[in-house]
Amino acid sequence: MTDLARLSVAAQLGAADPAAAAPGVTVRLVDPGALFLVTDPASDLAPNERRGESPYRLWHAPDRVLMIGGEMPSAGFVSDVTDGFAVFDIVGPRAVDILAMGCSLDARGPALAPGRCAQTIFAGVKVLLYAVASRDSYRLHAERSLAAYLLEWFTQAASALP
Amino acid sequence: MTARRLDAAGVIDRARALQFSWDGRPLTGFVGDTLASALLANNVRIVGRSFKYHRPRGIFGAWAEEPNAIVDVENGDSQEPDARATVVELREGMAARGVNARPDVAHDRYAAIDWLHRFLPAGFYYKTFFPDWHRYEPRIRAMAGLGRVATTPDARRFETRSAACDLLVVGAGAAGLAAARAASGAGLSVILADDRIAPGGSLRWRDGMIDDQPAAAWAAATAEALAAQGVRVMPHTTVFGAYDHTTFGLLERRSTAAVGWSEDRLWHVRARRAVLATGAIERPLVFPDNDRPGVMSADAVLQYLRLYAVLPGTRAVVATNNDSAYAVAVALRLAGAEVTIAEARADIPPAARAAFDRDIRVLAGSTVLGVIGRDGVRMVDLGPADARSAREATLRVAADLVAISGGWSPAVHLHSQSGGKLRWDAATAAFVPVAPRPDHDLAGGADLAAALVSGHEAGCAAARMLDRACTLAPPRAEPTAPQAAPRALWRVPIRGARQWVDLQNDVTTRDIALAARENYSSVEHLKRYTTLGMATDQGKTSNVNGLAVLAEETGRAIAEVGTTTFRPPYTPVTLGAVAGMRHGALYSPWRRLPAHAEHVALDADMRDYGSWFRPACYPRTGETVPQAIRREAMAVRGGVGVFDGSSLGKIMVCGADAAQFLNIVYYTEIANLKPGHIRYALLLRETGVVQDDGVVARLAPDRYLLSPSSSHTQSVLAHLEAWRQTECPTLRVAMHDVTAAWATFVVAGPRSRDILAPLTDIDLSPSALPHMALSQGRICGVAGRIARVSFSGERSYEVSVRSGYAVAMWRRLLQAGTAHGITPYGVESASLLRAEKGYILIGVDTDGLTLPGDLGMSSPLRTKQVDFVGRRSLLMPDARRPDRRQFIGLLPEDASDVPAVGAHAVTRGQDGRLRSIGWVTSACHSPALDRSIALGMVERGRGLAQAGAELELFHLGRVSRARACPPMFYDPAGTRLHD
Repeated sequence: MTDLARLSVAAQLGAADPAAAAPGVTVRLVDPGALFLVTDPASDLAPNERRGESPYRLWHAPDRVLMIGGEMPSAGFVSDVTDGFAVFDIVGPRAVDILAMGCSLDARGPALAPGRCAQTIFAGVKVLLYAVASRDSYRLHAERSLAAYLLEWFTQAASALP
Repeated sequence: MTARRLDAAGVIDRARALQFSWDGRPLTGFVGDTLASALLANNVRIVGRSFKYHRPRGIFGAWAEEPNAIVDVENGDSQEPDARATVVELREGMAARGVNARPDVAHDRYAAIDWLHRFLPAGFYYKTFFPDWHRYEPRIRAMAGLGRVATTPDARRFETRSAACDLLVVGAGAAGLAAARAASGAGLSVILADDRIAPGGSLRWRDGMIDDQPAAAWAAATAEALAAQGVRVMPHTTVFGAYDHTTFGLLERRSTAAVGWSEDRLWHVRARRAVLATGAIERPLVFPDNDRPGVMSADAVLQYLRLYAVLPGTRAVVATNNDSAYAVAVALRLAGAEVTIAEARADIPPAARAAFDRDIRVLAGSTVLGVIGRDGVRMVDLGPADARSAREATLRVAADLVAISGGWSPAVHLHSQSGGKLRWDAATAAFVPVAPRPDHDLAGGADLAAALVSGHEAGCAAARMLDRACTLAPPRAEPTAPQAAPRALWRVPIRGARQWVDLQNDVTTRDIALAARENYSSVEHLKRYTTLGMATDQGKTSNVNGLAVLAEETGRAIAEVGTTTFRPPYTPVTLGAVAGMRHGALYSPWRRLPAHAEHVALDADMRDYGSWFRPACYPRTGETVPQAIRREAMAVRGGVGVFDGSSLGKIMVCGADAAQFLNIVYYTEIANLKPGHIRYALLLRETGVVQDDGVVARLAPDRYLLSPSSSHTQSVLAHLEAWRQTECPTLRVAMHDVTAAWATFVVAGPRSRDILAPLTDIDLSPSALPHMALSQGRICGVAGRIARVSFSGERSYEVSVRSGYAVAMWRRLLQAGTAHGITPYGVESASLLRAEKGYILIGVDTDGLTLPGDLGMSSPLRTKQVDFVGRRSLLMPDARRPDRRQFIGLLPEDASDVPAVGAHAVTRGQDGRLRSIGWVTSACHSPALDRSIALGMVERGRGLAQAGAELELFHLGRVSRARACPPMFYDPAGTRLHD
């Protein structure tokens, strides 16, 4: 009985690296490590807050966070959803333009300020979206089953950028 | 005919000629031309035929207000029907054609309709063709309509963008530029949008000095400076709609400037405030035969002269009731035209001095009483503005151009769309915007200095509202002499003559008078009865004239008559721009299974199921789809099959009160389910209607795993969250959607255990893992779980591992099953297997009225000790009606005939008429029974099934017979399931 190979989303889709690019912006499918949904009434995150570095936590719902990286927490109701998300990094000075094609949140506005994360509709699908390091670097989590669709969307959107 | 291009001036690039064609005729224009200016420069006089009477029509306006020049435009491989030639940027190779005429607009064989105009009054269709409209409709439809819609795919690409800003300034004329300048100077982020090709508005063609520069130069320099300091200056962008929360819809056209593939862009702009500096639209004067080609808006004439160096006529009559047309008359004279001015006012205004200085004849108290020239103006009769007969004309002048100005209507569209009010201002004879929404400011003015100050103050007001200080001094223009009041002149009081109010929809003053006589005295009724203002130009030039005539006819004041409602869009928006990228592969977000590529590699017939893309079946070479489905189903019954069930919902429920919560939301008893076991459960709405079915597994005392149907997962989750948050907030329970994190493969068939047992450390023996039990362990070395549930009626294992392992797991199962003849089967095959077992598909066999009792599942209502969602509804009289439709099986009399899904079960009444008592919900040819079977919902069905009653099935006129039976065709005892 040999172990099975575990495919990343990028490998499963056979996506190029970067998955899409235009002058001033690259879109990559990334593997940020383990992802855990944690419901814990003792959670101290405010709505739409993002906290920590590695691991870091995103507010997901009242009493619920999405934890990225690190070990499985012991407290609370925890579900390992590492394989449930496709994670895209959108990086570059024109990242804001590609975001403006997919969602109505102002990439430079308070909803996507450092320390915040937004749950919004992007290209018609539910996503988690936040600025990573600077206002030129954004990360987007979407349901894994929608990865191929979003990859196609990013490819077309990137080709629309001059 | 005498329109021509002048040798100098204009913003056109004479070094770059463009070849284009009009109705097949090759013509030449220049970069910077609109299609309309290029047509005028080539002396094309007739550009369209009127909608109803097929009268020849020429270019009237110069921009969005154009009612006449509706043309089909072909640009390489893209086509645009019903474009306004005045806003179409000329391009190399463009092919434009007139519409609503055969064979072309210059020689329209339907022109004879105009002779019948006496028989085609307002309301003609209502009066003539009702109640037998359907008899005439095909013929009338064939004649109606304008442009030809392209039948080939549009090669243009579109995109949608969002933007946010502190201030959106709509209109980049004098007021808009001043507003943007003030607001940007105060530190606001500003978007400045204007629908013209370049910013500047009327500064580009009207004279004036601003800050000691010519107005046009000031506009260009200011726009450039604003862009340099970070203002997003968007020329060629129409703000077409004002919506709630200071949100605006913008259409940006990027025809020649386009880079990348995207042409039109739809913008959703969310601003904190807006300044509406939308300017004004010139109204026509209304007089007999005012629709002749060559009758043009005076301001449009000036635009053709100044922007495109086109002289639309060499012998011009300028008819006006206000001061603005004098500059047009002077410009025409300077360009070499003969000019006569008909001034409707009795007193010659001071503005006329400029005309006298150029030796232009001015006739005071006069207007146009008639226009001669069927295909274009040849002569014009002038006479007193209050003439009651055409015979009162005092002068007939030879002319090829009539430039008319009936005053100005502020473009209040966005203001009104957002709920702003209008006030009739008698002094300027216009509806002026008042009481804007709190987050809107209005800017503009009839003279340059006033417009600049108004714009500057609006920009500063916006800055102050957003806590910024405005420090700039306003731009300065020399104050001009006050304008003389216009004379309100809505038509010439000549009875009988046809005077056009709405050029595009062919509505005359006579139509309005008739409507008033027939008591259509509300302006909204007038609009619908006469179609005034309902054409693609939405009455930009006709609305005010029309309601003023209605006011005269009904003896009311204009303010009393009021206006019709303004709705978005201001100008037509291409559907492509609304769709943006949402077409083709991006038509809607589709979900893919984690092992998608494996199915494709097996040549699966991939289809759309809900939002999921799933294999319907796996046809082999030379095999039809029904053959593949039959083969796959038989493989499951006789050997073993494997099915990708990864799209099945997976919702984890955890908490000390999880059992109590699920017992409330589920119809089926859940609380007494033992850990390690699974139960089939129904979820009801409060109405008692079945929302979803699925299995509930208890993993631990405080932990459950729900499996809703693939396409219902999100709605089930939302339903559960709603009940948790609003009805059961005190229960300690939480839910996680882990659907996408897990891949599930169903191994089904008599030999399923032989394949799986060597791959896992989980004990698969019937005693350790009976039907409806679940166990966690390792499969092929990775953590997972195996659930023994069956949707096929065979012994069946659902193997779940993390999605990352999906591809490897699928391959391993196929490899391990090779010796056993393992067969991948798809959704259609699975659906056939379940139909043989009579298992329901929610939404297929059930509808929005189906209660659990209708499905034969009434025991929870009798036995469940606690209240549950939907219970009360199940106790209502309607739920207990004996004649409810019930779920049954149907065995067609002809075993080879598969009844149509949707076929009605019918009874015959005493009068022999058929009455539907239900319908077929699923039907197929069953390989296991080697005959056709069907499922259906039929009134009092269970009784009929018990009796084995014969039913008649009726479909599209064909009647067949079937015998009712219990909905279970295969292995009713379930021995194979439990084996």
